[in-house]
This record gives sequence, structure tokens and C-alpha cells, in this order.
Amino acid sequence: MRSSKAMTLPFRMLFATSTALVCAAAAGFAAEPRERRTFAPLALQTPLDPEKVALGGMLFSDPILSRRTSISCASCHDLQQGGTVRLPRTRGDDDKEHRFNAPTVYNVALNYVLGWQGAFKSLEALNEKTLLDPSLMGADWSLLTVRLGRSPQYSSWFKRIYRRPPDKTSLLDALVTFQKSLITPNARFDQYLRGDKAALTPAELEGLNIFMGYGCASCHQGVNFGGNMMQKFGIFPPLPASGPDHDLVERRSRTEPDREESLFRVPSLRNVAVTGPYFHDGRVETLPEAVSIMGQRQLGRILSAAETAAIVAFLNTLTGEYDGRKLEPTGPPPVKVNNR
Amino acid sequence: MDASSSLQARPLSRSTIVELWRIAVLAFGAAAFGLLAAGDAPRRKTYDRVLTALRVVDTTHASLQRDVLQARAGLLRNYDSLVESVARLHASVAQLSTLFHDSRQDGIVGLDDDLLKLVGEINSDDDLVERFKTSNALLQNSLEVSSLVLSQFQGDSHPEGRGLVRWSGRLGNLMMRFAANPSSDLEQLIRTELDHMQGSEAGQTDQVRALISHANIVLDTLPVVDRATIAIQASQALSGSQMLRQHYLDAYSVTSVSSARYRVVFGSICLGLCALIALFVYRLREQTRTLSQQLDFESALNEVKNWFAEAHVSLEIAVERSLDALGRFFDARACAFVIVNSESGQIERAYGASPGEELESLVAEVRRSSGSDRVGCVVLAEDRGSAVAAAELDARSSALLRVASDRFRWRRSDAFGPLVDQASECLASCVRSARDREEREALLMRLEHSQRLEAIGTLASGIAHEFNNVLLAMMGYGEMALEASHGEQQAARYIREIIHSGQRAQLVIDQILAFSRKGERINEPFDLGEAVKDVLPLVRVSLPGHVTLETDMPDRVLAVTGNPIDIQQTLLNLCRNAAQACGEIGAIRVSISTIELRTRTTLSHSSASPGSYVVLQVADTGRGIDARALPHIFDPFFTTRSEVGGTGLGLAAVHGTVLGMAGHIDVQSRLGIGTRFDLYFPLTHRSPIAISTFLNDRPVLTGAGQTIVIADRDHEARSMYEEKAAALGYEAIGLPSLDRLRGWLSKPANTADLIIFDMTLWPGEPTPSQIVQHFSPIPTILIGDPLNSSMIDRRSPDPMRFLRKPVTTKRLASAISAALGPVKSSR
Repeated sequence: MRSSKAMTLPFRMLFATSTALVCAAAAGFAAEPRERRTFAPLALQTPLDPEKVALGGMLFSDPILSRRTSISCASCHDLQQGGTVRLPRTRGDDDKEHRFNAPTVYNVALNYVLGWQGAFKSLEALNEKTLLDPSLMGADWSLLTVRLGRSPQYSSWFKRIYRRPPDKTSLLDALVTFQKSLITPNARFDQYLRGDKAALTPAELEGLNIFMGYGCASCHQGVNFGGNMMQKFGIFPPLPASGPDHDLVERRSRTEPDREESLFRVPSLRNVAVTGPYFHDGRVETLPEAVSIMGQRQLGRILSAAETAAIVAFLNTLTGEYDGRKLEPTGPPPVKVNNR
Repeated sequence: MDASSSLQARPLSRSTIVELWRIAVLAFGAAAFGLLAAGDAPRRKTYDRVLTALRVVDTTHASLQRDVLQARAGLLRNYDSLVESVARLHASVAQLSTLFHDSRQDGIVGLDDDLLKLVGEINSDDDLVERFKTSNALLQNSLEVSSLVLSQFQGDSHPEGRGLVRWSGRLGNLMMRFAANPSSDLEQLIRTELDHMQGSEAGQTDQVRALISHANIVLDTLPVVDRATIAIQASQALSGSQMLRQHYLDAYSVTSVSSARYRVVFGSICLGLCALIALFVYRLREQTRTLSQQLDFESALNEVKNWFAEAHVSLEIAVERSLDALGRFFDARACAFVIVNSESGQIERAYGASPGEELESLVAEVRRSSGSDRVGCVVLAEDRGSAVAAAELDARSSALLRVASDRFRWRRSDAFGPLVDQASECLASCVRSARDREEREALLMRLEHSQRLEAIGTLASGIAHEFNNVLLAMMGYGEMALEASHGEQQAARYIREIIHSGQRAQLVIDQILAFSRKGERINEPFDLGEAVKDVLPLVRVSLPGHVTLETDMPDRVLAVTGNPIDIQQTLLNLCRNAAQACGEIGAIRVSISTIELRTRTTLSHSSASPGSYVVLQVADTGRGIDARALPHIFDPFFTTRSEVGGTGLGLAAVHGTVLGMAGHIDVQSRLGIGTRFDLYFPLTHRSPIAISTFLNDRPVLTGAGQTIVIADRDHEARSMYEEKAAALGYEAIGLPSLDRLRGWLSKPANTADLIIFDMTLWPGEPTPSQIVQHFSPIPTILIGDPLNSSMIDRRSPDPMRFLRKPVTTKRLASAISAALGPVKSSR
């Protein structure tokens, strides 16, 4: 096809030019601070339909979405508690404890890989799964549409926005739109990345150096400090006294039989200071503990207390703002779950 | 306005409804085909989006490959761009899937396999990228840590000694080689080195352990990363997308070509239907226009007819008003109606136009172009706005209608012409019917006139009969008294005066009887010219000296049937009237001509059937007859000269004579100019008899004592006959009744040579032949009323002797001698 060739020819030239430019940029980046190439600041604003965001926000905190109307999304992803709750693992609509820790819902839209095991690539799929999972919300679509359709408020709201009664697509869209709005920009490290060298204290800068140098940034990279790849948990064997290993138990749930390693999503480290407990099973309550475990299992290093403190100090600079306010570590200290 | 409103009020005709339906159906079809033509195109937007999506796949995949290489080289330290590329690839193929689904209704199919292949490639790329990210993160980290530790070993002064430094140098070298060429031999070598060090004492330090573990990770992950990198670089996604594009373009071009073909077909059908609609609408409008024009025209024609139907409107005014109405309809500048004599080409009447040269030329033009055999419409070529239509009015005249219209100036003349033709036809028929009506009225009047004359004639003849009997006696006795007045001059003079007066009375009675056509009639063919020439000297003598007489006589013989004496009397009457009309000075012209009437022709006092006629014309230059008097001139006793002794019987006698000869009278008179009497006599082809035979006067014949029996109821008349017969030398025996006559005849002694028998004595209807038969062989002379005598003339084939009352001596003598003649000779 002559025409397609004619169309692709300028395209190829453009491609070649852009490749050359990128190479030149990469050469230029070499002189840049390494962290500029590893991380990216969050955009300050996210253009979204405010109506949908408001509807999604209302649905997010409404137990109407669970089978027994016992819990809402916000029951496990409390926006006041860093988008999660201070529980190692939460209880679903069936009142049974879930297998995994509830990760923060903040910045969830920036994650490419969703779910602890990276089973989802889209927020809609994840939301649907969460709504329908008997151990989570336990609902089904007919139940949800009938319930929402009966509610005069939701019914009219949906009709106003989507020009039709509430259904699967519109409900998911409202929820996802709301979740996309949960961005926490303007962390101090973001300010640093934008050029404000004074945004970080020397101790925090020391933590940044360790974070970069020890290899944390190999996985916790990108705009969300993770969330865009999978990684084996436990590259280095655990110390004998480190407690029960949940890491290999999960292998049976893997959908891909050819993968031998037990891979987990590399979680985002944004707001990590306010989103404990940590790890997929919420095994540790505090950040220094988590940092220590990560050093041991992933980097093969026993981090000194000073190093840990420096890293924690750096991680503290990743806490951003939502709704114009900086996220705060809130809530009571976590209570031990009985069946754990 | 009236016509148009009635047009709107009129329900739509069936054909109009059909037409409207047809237009509606066509419009629907045109709209449908138009939609098909406009709508069935493969959507350009979809096409652009598909190509854009494929381009996005290409570029995104290329940047993915580039980013993977960068990440492998350690230049790219975050995987967001990889993730974005993969996400964009997924989004693009999802969009492609939607677009292909959309374009399926455009007829572009068969791309699902290619798309599935591309999706598979991208999914496998996704997996490869996932694996690459996971492994590469470890590899990069381990490489970094390893090189860091190795360089620390090289820089530091280790207490463990040179061995460790050398080992580390060797390991670094091997690692570099492995990084460049990850062969299994090198891997084996490095693992041997590592195992060796791990087993040794020096390997127990944290640094060495870290180095060993990271080197192991490098050994484990590097092949994985490289495999993933190579696999991504060798991904079929690009070729898949190329193939998809190729197939899509092929399918699109095929579809768009066929769609273009369909669209051309549908579009042309749509255009054709539109053209048909336009045609139908035009036709409908034309039809409506024609109808409304027709309606206007009909209302104009109705107006014309109404004008003619109005009883009190005269023909002239009706024509003028009709021309106005037609002029309004045609929006005419000029509207002229001309009645032309077909034979002479002369204009008889002209309405709405001055009979000028223009009109003459018009007539000539129509005559020339339409031909003699056919009268039709001619639209004048030199003036497109005007048309002339000719219509036959009657045998002698035709009508021309000329309309000069502004309204039709720009229109095709073939619509204008027929309209003018129709208008002229209508106008002509109206004029014709008006004329017919007038003619009928005239005929009715004439009929009434003749009935009146008939009644007068009956009355007059009745009076004349009674008077006749009285006169008979007076005359008879007068004659006898004269004979008996032997030498007494005085008495004889008086008696002669009485007889003379009686003769004048006889003349009057004769005229009355002539008028009522009940007198004795002789019908023989004679030459009219001869009769007229014979009497002309007498006429000339009777005219006053200052009145000249002109004559125009044809040389040939023109025979008519009748009595020339009556004709002569008639001519004398007419000439006397003419001379009186001329007064002091004037001229009378007497002429004879022939005329051939082809059709029934209306004359002033009669209507002549077709045929050949001899016309005796008497024209004078006198004062003329008043139009009011003209219808009555033939009435008996109607006279304008009662003071000077006019009897009013002259023209009545003329009338009676002419009608008695099956002739007709046409009187044309203009006051102050003159009067013309045309007497039409049917031309006969029998050979004429000489005038002299009508005029032979024989001497009075006397008898020789023959016995004549006279039967008459009236004593006076009987005595008179007896005395007259005795005076003529016959033996007269008077008897008062038929019975006495029979009785007398039955006596053997009595012999009669002749019987004079009053027909009133015969019982019942007198039949002359019966009477004659009854008295045969004695010859009989019948005496009777003129009424009976005409019957006798007709019914009796035998030579008869019949005397009309009153019987003068002279007639009686000749009749007796004629009746006895054969008897005498037979003796």
C-alpha cells in the first residue's frame, strides 16, 4: 500500500528524531541528580468531573454497597486514616478477616499493578472484584442496581449525571472517578524534586542517599515510588528468628503456574508514614520495623539503627496533602487481631 | 376573483389527489435514497481513528522497546514509562477492537484474527515487560552493589590479604565478560569462584557474602533479563500492527469503492426522483394554472352568454359588453369583433374597433392564411400578442374576433390561439342565436300579420259576397232600365251613372276578392317581361308628367305561372303608389331580373324558400315609408291617403296577387330616399302562353229562341236572369227550386236546351259533376259563389260553365253561347 508507506515515512522520521532527542536527554540526565531520573513529582491538579467525584465519594462511604449493608469502602479505606485503617487485616461483609492487609486508597490511580498480587490492571476491575467478593463487600449487581434504583437520591443523581438509572458501568465509573481524585500531591520530597533544595533536611537527604544507594529505589521508583511492577518478596532468606513466613504460603493462589517465585506488587511508598501496618499481611506496625525487614529480605543487609532512622526520615517526606491538608497519622494504636 | 375562490373551494379532483400521492411517494423515495447515498459511506472518522490507533501502537511499541533497552542499560531508572507504554498499547488495541466492531456495519470484516494476534503479542509483551521489570530491578541493583563492593575491595587494604583482592579482581573481570557474553561456561566459572570463596574463611565477612549473593543474583537474572529484552525487541507486535493496517486498508478501500459505487447509484436515483418530483410539481402547477385559466375563461364566456340571454339588451350592447368581459379575461389592449360577409368580403358590422385599414388588412390576412374551406384560429405572426379567430356565423357571413393581449404576450401562442378561437366561437354562436331569435320573432310577427290578413280577408270577402248580390241586382236592373228608357236622354244618363258606379263598386269588390285570393283564378305560364311590356304604355300614361319611368327588361323569356292581367294590375297599383310617393318630381324604375336563392332567405314580408325566382322590381325616389307603417302596408283598408280617396286596397290586392302566384314580397324603404318593392315569382320552365290569349274580348252573342230554364231561389235575381236571357233572344223560364225544376223537366211537353242553375239550390254539398250528371244531357251553367267556384275549377275535369256572381249581361251571353254552341253544332 503506497498510501500507508507514505503515511509511515514521516512517522519514522519523527521517531528517529525523537530517539535522537531522548538519547541527548539521557546524556543530559547523566549530570542530573540520580533521584530526578528515578522519581517524579505528583501533578498538583487532576481534572475530573466534580459531580462524579461527589457521587463516587458518597458511594465510597455508603454501606449500601455491601450485601448486609454492614460496611462501606471507607470502612477499610478511611480517608481520615491515610486511606486505610490501622488494622493488619480487615473484616469483610461476612465478618471474616481478609487474607490481605488493606492498602491505602490514596494515589491508587497511579498504580499500574493493582492488588497485592498484581491481579488487576484497571481500577474498574479491582472495584468490581471488591464489590462482588464474598469476603469483601459480598454484593451482586442486581442487588446493587435495585438498591440504588430504589434510593431516590442516588436514582436522581445517577440520572442527572449518566442520563440513566444506576447500573454497573455508571456505579463503577463513579467510584473510579472518585478514587482517581484521591491524589496527595505536594509532599516535601515533591517540592524537592521540583527544585526546592531546602525542602529536605540533611538527615532526610542522608536517608534519600541510603534509599538510592542501597537499592531500595530499584523497585520503589517512578511517580508513585512503586506500584508499577511486581517483585519477589524475600530475595534473601529470612533470619531464623523473624517469625512465621507468610510469603510462600501465597504461592497456591498464583494464577500463573510458570512463575516459581512468589511475586508481590511493589507497593507505593507515598504516604507510607501514615498507612501502617505494613506488608501484605500487615505483619509490622511501625515503619522502622518494616524498613528493617525490607533491608534484610530484599537487600540482604542488616540496616543499622541510624540508617533505618535516616530512611524513615526520608520516607516521612513522602506524605502528601489531600484536600489541601497534609495527611496525618491518626487513630488509636492498632489492636492485635485475635485470630492472628 | 370569483373564479379563483370557487377554484379553491372546489374539492380536489381525483387526478390531483393521485398526483399529490405520487409526489409524496417520490419524495419519500428520494429521501430514502438520499439517506442511503449520504449515509452508507465507510465512516472517515472511524478510518482516521483506526489508523491513529495503529500508529499509536507502532510508536508506543517502539518507545517501549527503546525504554526497555534504556532500562537494561541502566539509563532509565523508573518503570513508569514502560508501564505507560504497555497501558497505552492495551488501550489502543481495546480502542481498535471497538472501532473494528463499529466498522463491521460498514462492511469491513475479517480483521478479528489479526487483531487477536496483535492482542496476543501485546499481552505476551506485557508479560515480558513484567518479567523484565522484576528481573531487571534485581539485576541493576545487584550489578550496582557488586561493582560497588568490588571497587571497595580494590581500594581497601584488606587484612585478609592479597588473595581476596586478586579474587575480587578475577571475579570482576569474569563478571564483566559475563555481562558482555552471558555464556554458560563463564557462568560455571563464576559459580565455581563464588563457591570456592563461600567455602573459604575469607568468605564469611559480610562484604564478601553480599558480593557473593549479588553475583549469584546477577548470574541468575542476567540471562532472564537478556532473554526478556531480546524477546521484547523481537516482538511481533509491530509486524502484527503492520499487517493489521494493511488488511484494514485493503478492506477499507474495497468497501469504500463498492460503497462509492452504491452511493453513486443511490445518489443518481435520488436525483432522478427529485427531477421527477420537480416534473410532477411543475405539471401540477401547470394543470392548476390551466384549470384556473379555464375557469376564468368559462366564467368570461358565461358572462358573454348572460349578456346575450338578457332580453332587454340589444345585440349591439350585448356584443360590446361581451367584448369587455373577454378583454378583461385576456387582459387585452384591444378586442374587436367583426362580422364579415363571406361572399363579398365586406365588413358588415364592427364592434370594438373602427373599421379602418387595419381591420381590412386583418380580414384579408385571415382570409389568406386560413383558406377558403376552413375557418379557424390564426395567431398573427407579426404581432405575437394578438390573435384572430374566425367563426362561421351563417351561410353568408362569418365573424372575426381579434384579441391583442399583454397577458399572453410572453406565453406560448398555442394556448392563446385556441382560447381566442373558443371565445370567437362562443361569441359567434351567441350572435347567431340572437339573430335566430330575432328572425324567429320576425317570423312570428309575420305569421301574426298574415293571420290578421287572413281574418280581414275572410271578413272582407264575406261582405263582398253579400254586397255582390246586391250589386248584381242593381247592375242588372240598371242595364234593363237603360234598355227600357227608350230615348229619354236624361233618364238614360242617370241610369248610366248608376251602372258606372256599380262598375266601380265591382272594381272594389274585385280588389277585395283579389286580396283574399278568393276570386276566379287563372294559372297559366306566361312571360313576365311580355306582360310588363304590355302594360307599360298604360303605366306611362297614368303617371304624372314630372315623374320619369325607367325600365330594365331582359330580352330573354322569363316565365312565371299566374294571370298576367293580375300582374298588370299589380304593376299599375305599384306604379301609382310610386308616383304618389314621388310627389312633385321623381323617378320610377321598373326592372326584371332573376335570382337564385341557395338558402331560405328572409325577406321583409316573407321568407323565400330556395329556388330560382324572377324578381319584378319597382323602385322610386319618393319620400319612403315610415318604419311604423311598413308592417301594415299590405293590410286592407290601411291607407295613408284616406283624405284623397285612397281605399287601402291597392297594396292588399298586390299582396294577394303575389301570394296567389306563390311569390314573395320584399320591401326596402328609407325615409326621404325611396322605396323598393321586390316581387319574387318562382321561375317556371313551362312554355309561356301569349298574353293575347288572356285578353280576347268576343262580341256579345245572342240566342235564337232556345229554351233556358233558370233556377234561382232569389226572386229578384231570377227575374233579372229571365229578363237578361229574354233580352239576349232566348226563351227563359224561371223556377224557384230544384223540385220545381225537376217537376218542370219531367213534363214531356217541356224541353230545355240549357239549364242555368244556382248551386245553392242543390241539397247538401254541391258537387258540380253530380249536378251536371243529374241534368245531362241538358247542358248546365252553374251560378255560384267564388268560394265554390274555385272548388269547381279544381274538381271538374269536364268543360264546365260556371258563372261567378254577379253575372253581368256580357258574361251571361258568352256563357250561354259557349254552352249551347256544341249543342247547336250537334243538331
